[in-house]
Amino acid sequence: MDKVHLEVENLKTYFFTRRGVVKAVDGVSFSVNQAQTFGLVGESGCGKSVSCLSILRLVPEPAGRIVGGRILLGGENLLEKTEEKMRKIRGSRISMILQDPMTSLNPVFTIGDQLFEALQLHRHLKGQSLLDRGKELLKKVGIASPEFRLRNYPHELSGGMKQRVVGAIALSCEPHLLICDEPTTSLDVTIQAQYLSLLKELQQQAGLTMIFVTHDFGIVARMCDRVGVMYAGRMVEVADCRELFNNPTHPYTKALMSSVPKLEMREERLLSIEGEPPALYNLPTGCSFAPRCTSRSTECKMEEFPPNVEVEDGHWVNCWRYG
Amino acid sequence: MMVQLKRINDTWKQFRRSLLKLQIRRWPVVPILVILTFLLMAIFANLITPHSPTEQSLPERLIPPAWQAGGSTDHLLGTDVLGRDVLSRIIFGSRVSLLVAFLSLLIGGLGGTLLGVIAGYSGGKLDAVIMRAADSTLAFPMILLALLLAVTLGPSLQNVVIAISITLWARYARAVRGEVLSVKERDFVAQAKIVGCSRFRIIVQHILPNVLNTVVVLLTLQVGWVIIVEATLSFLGAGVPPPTPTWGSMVSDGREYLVAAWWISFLPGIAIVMVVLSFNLMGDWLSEALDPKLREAAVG
Amino acid sequence: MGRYILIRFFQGIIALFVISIVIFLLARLSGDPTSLLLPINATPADREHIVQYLGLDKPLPVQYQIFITQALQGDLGESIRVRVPVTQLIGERIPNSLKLAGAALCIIFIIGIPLGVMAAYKKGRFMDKLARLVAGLGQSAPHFWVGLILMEIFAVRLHLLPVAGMGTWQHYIMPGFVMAWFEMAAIIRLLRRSMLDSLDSEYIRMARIKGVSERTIVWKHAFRNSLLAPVSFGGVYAAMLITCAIVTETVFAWPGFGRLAYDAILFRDFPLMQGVVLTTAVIVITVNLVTDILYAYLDPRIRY
Repeated sequence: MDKVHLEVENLKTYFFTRRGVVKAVDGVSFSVNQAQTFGLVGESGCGKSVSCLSILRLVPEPAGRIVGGRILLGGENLLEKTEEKMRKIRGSRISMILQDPMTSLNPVFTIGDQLFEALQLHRHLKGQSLLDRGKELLKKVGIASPEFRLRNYPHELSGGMKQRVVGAIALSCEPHLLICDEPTTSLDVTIQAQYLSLLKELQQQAGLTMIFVTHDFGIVARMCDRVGVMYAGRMVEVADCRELFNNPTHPYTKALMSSVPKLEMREERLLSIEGEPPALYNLPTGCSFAPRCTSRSTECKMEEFPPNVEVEDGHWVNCWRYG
Repeated sequence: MMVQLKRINDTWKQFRRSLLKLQIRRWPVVPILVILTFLLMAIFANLITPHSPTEQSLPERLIPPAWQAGGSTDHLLGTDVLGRDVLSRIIFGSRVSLLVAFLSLLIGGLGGTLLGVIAGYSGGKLDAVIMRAADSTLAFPMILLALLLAVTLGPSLQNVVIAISITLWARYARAVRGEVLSVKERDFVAQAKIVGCSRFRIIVQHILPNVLNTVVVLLTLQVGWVIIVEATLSFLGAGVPPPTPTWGSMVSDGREYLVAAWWISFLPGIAIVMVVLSFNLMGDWLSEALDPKLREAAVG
Repeated sequence: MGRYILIRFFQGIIALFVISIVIFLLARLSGDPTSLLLPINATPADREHIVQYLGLDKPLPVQYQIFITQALQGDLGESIRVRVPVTQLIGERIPNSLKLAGAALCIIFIIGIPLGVMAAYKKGRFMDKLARLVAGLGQSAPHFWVGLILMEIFAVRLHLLPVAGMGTWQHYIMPGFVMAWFEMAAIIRLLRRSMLDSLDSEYIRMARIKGVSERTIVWKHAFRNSLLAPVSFGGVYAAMLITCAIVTETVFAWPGFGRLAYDAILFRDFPLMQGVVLTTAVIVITVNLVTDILYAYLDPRIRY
């Protein structure tokens, strides 16, 4: 049995806006084992990114606040730590790769400056050892002529290279947990595959635990060991990767998967899910997917969100059809 | 054809929609009230002033405002060294300030916008020439320029307006040109060209509505500044000549009596601050609502 | 980068020439100085004499040529009113104005920049509101009036500061503040917005992910980016300072360049007017050039 590295329990992150309370993350639970990759899948706005930011406690204040739940990293509850301690954890124990490489790097500082910063902060490196480590990191993410690149500015690099640099920065202090928030969405299709291979390789080398946020099931299949499907701020299905693909249970998961075109498909039209995700400040009680669900029944409009039910070993669903 | 006509309507509709998006709930009420008050004062000056602004009355010189010892309700804000009623002069002064501001912005803004559209749309040499001229004008100290022009042309209302307009046009030309350049590349313009629209039609129907947002924002942000410039010119003696009362000249008149009769200089200044502050606040609000990208234009 | 500087330099020279032509024409158009110089009972012969002496009888292009050739040799003529070489007058006054401008700039940097940064960082709280109040009033109150009021309160009534003129360091306080307030207001607002934009960006989030402290984030990461916007207006600020100088120096009887300019225009002193405008143009163009270079240094994206 693998050791559980990260455990998120009933996380609730709300945004307090003029229009009302936006329940971006409303009771999400999942756990990730050591050296495992956990995929977070869902449409835009379902709360996957906010969940990740919550783990790092970087939810934009003052509008956003984590209002409940626990986040256990190696047994310690991150939500109880002081900001000082969190700052030490960020970058050295947990790190993150953001989606858009064009905006992740500060345009007025060199690559080197930005790469060195975490190393100076957490590992207190200086002088030649700092330089060497920088070059080593760039080489590791597959960037040629690292000395030259260290002196470059972000605008002198291509998108793919920038994202590699971001990866290098994220891994510079050898974190135990890496969160990747749709890291390939902004990259060219041809570069995406390369980047994913790189991430996989780095993970295996270091025994990294990864959380991989994406909306693309193809990437899920490639990268993830275990998957959680989110909808409207809640987790609706969690299972091992293979199990999920063989046996998608929740109607939303099924709908998501069938809306991806496959080569063997005979039908002319792509299936799309009717309707739109609900506004997060005005969530319906009961199952939030019910309005769009093709297999809904009278049970589904009950007052409560469907409870967590284990349909197979390690395969959990929140659906009234099974609860 | 029908598709194209629909597109034309859309751009103007969008502009109107962006104006309507300014919800009433969030209007800056106090500034708007102040502005309206001064506007009404300016328009109905003749009807509301208790005295004539230019009538001198030597026995009534240097009377303090009503709330001070020696004051009277006959002259709520006191009188100046020639016995003229300060309140009436302030009311009439608003006429000059607002009129000059309105006209200068109209001419300078309109002229600048026109030149900006021409520069942006034509490109090439014409663009370069207009932009160089704009840059040179922008870089030059405004008051110096306005002073030179006002003194060269002789002090009068028209000349003050012309002088200020000349200092204003460059900013509009620059901003508008930038907008035109980016709008020019958009699809609906290419479409209009393919269908065979004349240049003029393209400019009026497609480019202008998109540019107007920028212009409106700039206008509102600059009203306050123009009022200050006019007041400064008046203070320095290069503004609208006497006997017309202007806020700036009132402050200047009261200089020698600062100790004995502080109100002559102080009160017109308060009027200026009130109006300019209100316009600035409204301008800020409008610019946030219409086009958050235009913030940099807030300088000067 | 060298090429960039060279191009801007030549553009500046061209602008200078254009301005010299414009001022030359304007000065001539503004009226006849002879009437101001001659006593009332002057004869036509006297008039003729003055006109010849001033070179006003020659055709315009020739006058311009004389003007330019002399200017290039450093001779800007003689003030009609005071019979002193223009260059000397300007030379005497500029240092005084520079001192005042220096005081104003100190105030702008020491108070304005922190206020702008704090306003963004503590958005919505007291610092922000205070900064915006200061900025709002600064842009709404006309210099001349503020100057007069301050003078009245602090000098005349309270006898805390000297009324006018130049002299001890106390003389610098009121005029310096008056000159600074308007520009400071602009800087505060610009910096605040710039900082708000920067603080919202993804690279700041990346820095937080790295575990960088808030103070470093504000003053190193965000501030460096935010500097770009205010710096790009450097030339405009210089022009503004000169504008403010004219008014402030007049109000506080400061023996500076601004007052000189005002007197020149008022008395239609052609040579002095020309000299003043040309000097102003040179100052503004130089500041623009320096600003451009500074901007290129701060923003690596536009260097190449």
